[in-house]
Amino acid sequence: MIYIIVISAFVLAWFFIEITLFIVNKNYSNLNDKKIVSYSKFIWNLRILAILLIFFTNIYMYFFENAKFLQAIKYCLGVIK
Amino acid sequence: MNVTVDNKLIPILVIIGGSALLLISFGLRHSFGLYLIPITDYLSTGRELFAFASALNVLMIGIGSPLFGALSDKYGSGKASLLGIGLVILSLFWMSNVQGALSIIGSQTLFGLGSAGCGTAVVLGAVGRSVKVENRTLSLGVVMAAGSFGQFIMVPIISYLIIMFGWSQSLLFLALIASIMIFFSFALNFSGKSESSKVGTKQTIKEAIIEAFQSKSFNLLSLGFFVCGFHVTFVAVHLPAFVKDANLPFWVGGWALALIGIFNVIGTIYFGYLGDRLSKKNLLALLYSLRSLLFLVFIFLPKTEFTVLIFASILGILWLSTVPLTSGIITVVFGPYYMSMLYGWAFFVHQIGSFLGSWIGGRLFDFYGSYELMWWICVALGFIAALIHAPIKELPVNRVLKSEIRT
Repeated sequence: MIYIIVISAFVLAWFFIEITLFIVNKNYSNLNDKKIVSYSKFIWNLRILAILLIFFTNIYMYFFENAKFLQAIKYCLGVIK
Repeated sequence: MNVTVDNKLIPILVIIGGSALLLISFGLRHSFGLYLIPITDYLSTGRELFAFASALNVLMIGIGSPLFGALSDKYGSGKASLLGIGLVILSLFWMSNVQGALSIIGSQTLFGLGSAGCGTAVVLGAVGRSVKVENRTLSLGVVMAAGSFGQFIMVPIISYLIIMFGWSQSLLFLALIASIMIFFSFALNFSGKSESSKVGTKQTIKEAIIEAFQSKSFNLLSLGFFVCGFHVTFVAVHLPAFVKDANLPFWVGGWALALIGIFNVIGTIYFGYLGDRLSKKNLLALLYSLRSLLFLVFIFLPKTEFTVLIFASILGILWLSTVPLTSGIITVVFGPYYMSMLYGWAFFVHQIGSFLGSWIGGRLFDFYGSYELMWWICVALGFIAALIHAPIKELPVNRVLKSEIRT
């Protein structure tokens, strides 16, 4: 249930970003300016970043609650030492 | 040693170096709260002493920003940040050996001053000078997003270091992490070799300060930034307590801060991108209005898990997005040469807002037993900030226009 609520909130906020960026891109067309970062390149990079962030945060929150992550870190640092 | 670098590589090197610097310095700065309990327990002092030292730390970041900004503009961003990193490392060593009130206050004050040296004023100034005008606000947004990501990722790592090695030894690890910044500070030196860094070089620091303080646009922009600091610090400090008071489950507070962190990274880049396409002052006005509307809706909505998380997500988008837009306007109006120092002044006002947001929030809660009045103050300040952005002129001053034509 926790993850459904979190993902729903995330998707709704992301929807706001997609809509506004789409509107701005539709109304902003400076074709002469080739140096400016393109909309499609930007939005795909932002989407990938968002997915990675929410994915790793979910993993972190899951393991954090179960304290397994702490053991994993301890193990890794022990190996490094 | 004189290193020659292809002009095309300068912006990339400065963006990478600046991002790494902000990632680490923001991460370190925002993890200090984790030391409150272990250090006060060790010294058997009340929490007020540590809280006072932390308040001084925040204030010193504000005071140090224009100073390090001026150093950066005069002697180079790399040298200024190197000095800041040195102070940070020194303060962390000092803090790992605290013996009483003086060392807590002294080390945190020194840390605040050092953080200003490797903070936004120096880094954003270097980036603003290095990148092309067409993608300047986006570049500032990307670097700022790295800082946001730093505070998001470093806090849990440092909390594990404290658990595993104890607070004192973990501070030595932090000093080690801080020393990584030395390597990246060299990348900022390339900002002085960029084309745009030469605009406005004939102006002295005194002339630049007088020009900025006589400008209505700069003063209004700084006032708007005050509101940003007020909002952000109030929410960051008091939101977990607010969630707890609303009798929501424990996980909501943690996830609310996590969603603010995620959308803070995304929102800073998003507004940076928009800032290169639309009027930055209009975007700032929209941003402050949206914050007020969000607070207003939040006051009236029932406080459930879903509403709190939606509130946190949208607020995350609007969280530090003011930074690339505000620094972008300063660069447009006054040119990139003294950007670090002028942004540092604006940031000083931001920090006063931060100090008041945290303090008044707690004071009003103690007096009325709820945050409702504080939310209303945040709503009013947001709309006032939106209004005061209307008279700002987002155009270069005559001096900059003339220099640009000449170059």
